[in-house]
Amino acid sequence: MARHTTKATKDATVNLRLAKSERQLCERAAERAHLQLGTWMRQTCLRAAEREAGTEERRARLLDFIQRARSGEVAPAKEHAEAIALARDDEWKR
Amino acid sequence: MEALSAVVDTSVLLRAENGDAQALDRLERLVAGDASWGVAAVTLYEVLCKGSAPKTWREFYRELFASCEVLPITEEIALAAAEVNRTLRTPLRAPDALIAAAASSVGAILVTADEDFLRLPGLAIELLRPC
Repeated sequence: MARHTTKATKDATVNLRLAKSERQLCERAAERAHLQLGTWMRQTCLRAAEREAGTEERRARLLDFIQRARSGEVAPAKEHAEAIALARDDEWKR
Repeated sequence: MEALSAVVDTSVLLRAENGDAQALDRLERLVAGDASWGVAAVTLYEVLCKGSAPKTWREFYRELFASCEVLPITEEIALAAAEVNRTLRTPLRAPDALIAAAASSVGAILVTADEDFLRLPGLAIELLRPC
């Protein structure tokens, strides 16, 4: 991720309460990744946050498209839909 | 594969392409909602196999399929679809049988605009009203 190529000042802290077993689980994952626990948790949380942000942006684009299709701003694809419907009958004969 | 709330049949996407408000409303609710939903992989093939698809709709599908579960046609699903069609007097079209089996495999309601699925006993169906 590009975010990790420049050294940002990391002066914000988050207190995280974990059960002993949860901490051990995270420690084992960090060991497997050859990272310190804090580094592993930071990278893992950032990846999840970025994925979540991407998901929300995609959802917004999809909803915008649907609204524009409903309003007629996006042209229907009637010829294509008809071609697919015909193909369903012709190419997949019972 | 985790359980899904709904699997969307190809027929719903074709109705959406025609500008059908009911199909677009249903897709909107699925996209906006938090429940997991999906499509069968064969639906991707069906809506993307023709060159006549406008670029706007192809891009829409690319994002739509990235935002939901795409159910692969596994051995289990292929066998279930074959079993269904063997027992029907008039079999379903092959993609429909595979879509129905995929929906059943994850315990999902099949959202469809195709009344033909009503012939399948035991399949949970949400049928869009005819245009």
